[in-house]
Amino acid sequence: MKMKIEWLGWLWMLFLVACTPRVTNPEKVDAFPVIYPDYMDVTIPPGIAPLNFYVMEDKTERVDVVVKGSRNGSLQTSGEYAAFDLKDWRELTEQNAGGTLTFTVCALVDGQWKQYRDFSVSISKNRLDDYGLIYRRIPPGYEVGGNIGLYQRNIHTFEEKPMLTEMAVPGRCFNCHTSNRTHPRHITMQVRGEGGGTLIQKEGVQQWYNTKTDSTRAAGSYAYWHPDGNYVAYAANSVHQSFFVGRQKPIEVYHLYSNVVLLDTRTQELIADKRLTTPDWLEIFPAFSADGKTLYYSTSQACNVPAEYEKVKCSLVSIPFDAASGRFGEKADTLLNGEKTDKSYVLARPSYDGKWLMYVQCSRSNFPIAQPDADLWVMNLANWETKPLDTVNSEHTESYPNWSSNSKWFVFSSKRQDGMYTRLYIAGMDENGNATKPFLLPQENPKKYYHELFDAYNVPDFTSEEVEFDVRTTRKNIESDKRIQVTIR
Amino acid sequence: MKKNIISIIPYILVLVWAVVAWWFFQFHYEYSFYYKEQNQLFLWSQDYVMDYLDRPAWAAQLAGDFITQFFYYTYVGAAVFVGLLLVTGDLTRRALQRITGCKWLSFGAALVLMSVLAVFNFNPDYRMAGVMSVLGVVALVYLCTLFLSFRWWIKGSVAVVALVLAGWMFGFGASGIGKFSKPYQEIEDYLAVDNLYYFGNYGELAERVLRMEKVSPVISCYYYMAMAQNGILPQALGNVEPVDLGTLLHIGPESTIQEMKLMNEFYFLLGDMTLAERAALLGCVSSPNNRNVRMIKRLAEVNLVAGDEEAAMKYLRLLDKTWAYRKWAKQNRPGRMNARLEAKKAFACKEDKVRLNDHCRVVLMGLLETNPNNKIALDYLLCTDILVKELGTFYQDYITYYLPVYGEAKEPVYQEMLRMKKEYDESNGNELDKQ
Repeated sequence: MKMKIEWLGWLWMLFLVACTPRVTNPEKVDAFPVIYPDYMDVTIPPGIAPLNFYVMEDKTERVDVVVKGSRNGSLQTSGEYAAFDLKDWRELTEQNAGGTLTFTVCALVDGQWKQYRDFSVSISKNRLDDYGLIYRRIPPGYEVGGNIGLYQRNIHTFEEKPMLTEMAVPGRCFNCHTSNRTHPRHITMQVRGEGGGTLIQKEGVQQWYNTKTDSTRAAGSYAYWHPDGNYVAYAANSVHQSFFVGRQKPIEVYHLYSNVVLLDTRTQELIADKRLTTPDWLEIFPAFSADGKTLYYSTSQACNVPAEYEKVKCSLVSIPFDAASGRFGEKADTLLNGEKTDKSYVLARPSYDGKWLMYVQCSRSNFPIAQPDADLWVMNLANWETKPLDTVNSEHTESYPNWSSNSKWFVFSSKRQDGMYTRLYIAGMDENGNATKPFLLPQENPKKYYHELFDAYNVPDFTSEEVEFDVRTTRKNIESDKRIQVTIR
Repeated sequence: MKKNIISIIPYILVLVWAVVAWWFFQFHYEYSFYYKEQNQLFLWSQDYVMDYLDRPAWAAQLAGDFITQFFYYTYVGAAVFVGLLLVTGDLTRRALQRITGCKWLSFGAALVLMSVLAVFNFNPDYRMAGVMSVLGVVALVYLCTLFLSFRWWIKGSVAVVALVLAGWMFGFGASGIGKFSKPYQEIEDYLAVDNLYYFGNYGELAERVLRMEKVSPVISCYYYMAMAQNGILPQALGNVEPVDLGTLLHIGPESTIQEMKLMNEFYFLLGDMTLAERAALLGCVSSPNNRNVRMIKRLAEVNLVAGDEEAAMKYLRLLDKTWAYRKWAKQNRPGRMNARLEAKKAFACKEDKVRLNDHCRVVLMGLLETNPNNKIALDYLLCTDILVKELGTFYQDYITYYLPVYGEAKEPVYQEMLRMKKEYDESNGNELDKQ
């Protein structure tokens, strides 16, 4: 009986092989294939999840793809779309680190096989060994709602795990999840709604704070950890939105006020330096330098928003910080002057190796994700020279960059696909500050996944290892009223 | 002969039950089926269907959602629903008859089960997946009864397999448990008006609303939107009480799904694609599984009108994979769309201008400043002035927006307001021209 079943199995396999259309007499096409996602000429780290893709030509019935490594190895796949075996793909990328992969794509279009021009993908020597990404997924309803979720994604496979979703804590909105230089032993997050509060999780132990005080008008958001893990910088602000009559710019998001404050997680005190909590300026998006001796932030003069929305021009500023005393230095330096240059410089993200300062530049606003002209720029911290990252920018919004733990790669969100839904892209950075062509976060079935996904990605960051996040404890803590009330130092 | 007649009585009872149930759901509760259909997005793709395997009670959900997509078509909802109840009842009757041997008991229990499911369906949010979960479990029970005469270990094995399948595929029928309630007539009235408006049956909508003893503010809004579509909003003002034009309503995350859908239609009618899109997105995220095919179609329409081709294609590609909307999606693509959308495009704002708030007066004035020929927006502005009894504001708006484009007022209600304004000015020693 067992033998019969085995034979039937083999016969079935043979039947499938016999019925699978093979590439026969392909018509050579002097053009590159139009593929989704556009992975042509991108640079990827060895060991990343397979770059599965579709050929987007009408009436494509089947594709057959052969990938050859410049150094060693090859693999082949065929089907409705190019879906590579995870193990084989990762082996091939490891074998060809520093080299290239050449893709030979054939497509059965309307009964005729076509062979397109080969394209290549570079495999960087620089590794990306972080476990993956953490991000929030939220329907872009311009407001809170829908099933907001905080997820972590293994970038070496296709596995995505929910960390916290609205189903677990109904009616709450959670945001600004931040780990310390990609390491999840230190996490902070803000929860809004009933039982809202600020989470500080260190080595798996949760503490929930009320960071709103008489002298700070709102709880902290846009967080950033000091490298030593004792301080977290927050922006305490009030965010609002207005809609346009026309369609090119559907929404303007603005802050009525914003100050930068520092939470000393050892003493549960808020450090509210008067230079960072001015009434006439809005200080926002704090970030510590790699050595923790400098705090970068953006600041813009208060104006009558939303009427004067075009006047919101953020400058990028740095101020010395002494972690031992918890005090800021005397002099704040303006690195990029928003008013003088008629631009807005926000979301400073220093690389962890101390070489680069990435930031977002747009024509106005302190909420770049709603600005179509928002682009990524980088500053060389050795000579303060700046340049746009032309290889990663598009005509749509680029925003929210964050570095990998080795500072060789960065993730950012972009609306380039449809102008509305942010998607995550990863790009590499070389020694000279040149970025590689970014690649869309790979998915097992990319067309189905991205085309049917109604969520926008939000606040992406790398995580060096899988995050241990106890949903049950988190829910219990959120539902309890116990909050540590911070005091002002 | 008498025995024969008695033996068919249960069948006659079931037949009568089925006819009454069908008649009720078809002629008194039909719009709840459109509502169910619109509250989901079923895609004809292998991957989409395979995703159901990850869900609890996947077979019930898959079958329920598959069937629900056809409720888009007139007469399908009630007929299919009653058909499913009959199948469920018949399988129940057969299973019980095999177990108990009592025909009357079996028929009685089947009728009770069918009636209970029918009552659960009074709640418009009761999903077909619920009916399918019960039907699936009953079918498995019936299959088990076919093995009653087999040896004990065969019976036991079949029962275990059936139990596992009942849990895995149908969630033991748990999702079929609904709420006992009377028919939600107010909701059915709302759904009727909402759908009549959606399908463009403005005359039928007006007749239905005018027949209603009690009109809710939301229904009033739909009535006046239908009148605005016919170009007679000022003439119809006051036909239905309370007069609610929707111009004083704000939406946000706390709004009801009714309000979100209403405001989506309202802003689309006015020609404000930004706010129509916002309301559609809110309506979408407030629907089960964040999917609402009507809102997705609206998102496609909004982006087609606004010329956001990439965004429009995202939604059109999804609609391409639906049964009921694929034809529409194929016919309406960037660069070629139906006359209704083309007409909307003529009202699209060419210039971006931020609104200081989302008060409808600001919205309407913004629309009129970018397009003075938007008569619907103008009628809403003037009628709102009348509604809030702001004579001076009405006059200012008339002078600013009506007179330069249309000349002297032709609508009786506007003429009456102007006469009142004149009287007021004369009694206060002012002249119109000085205003």
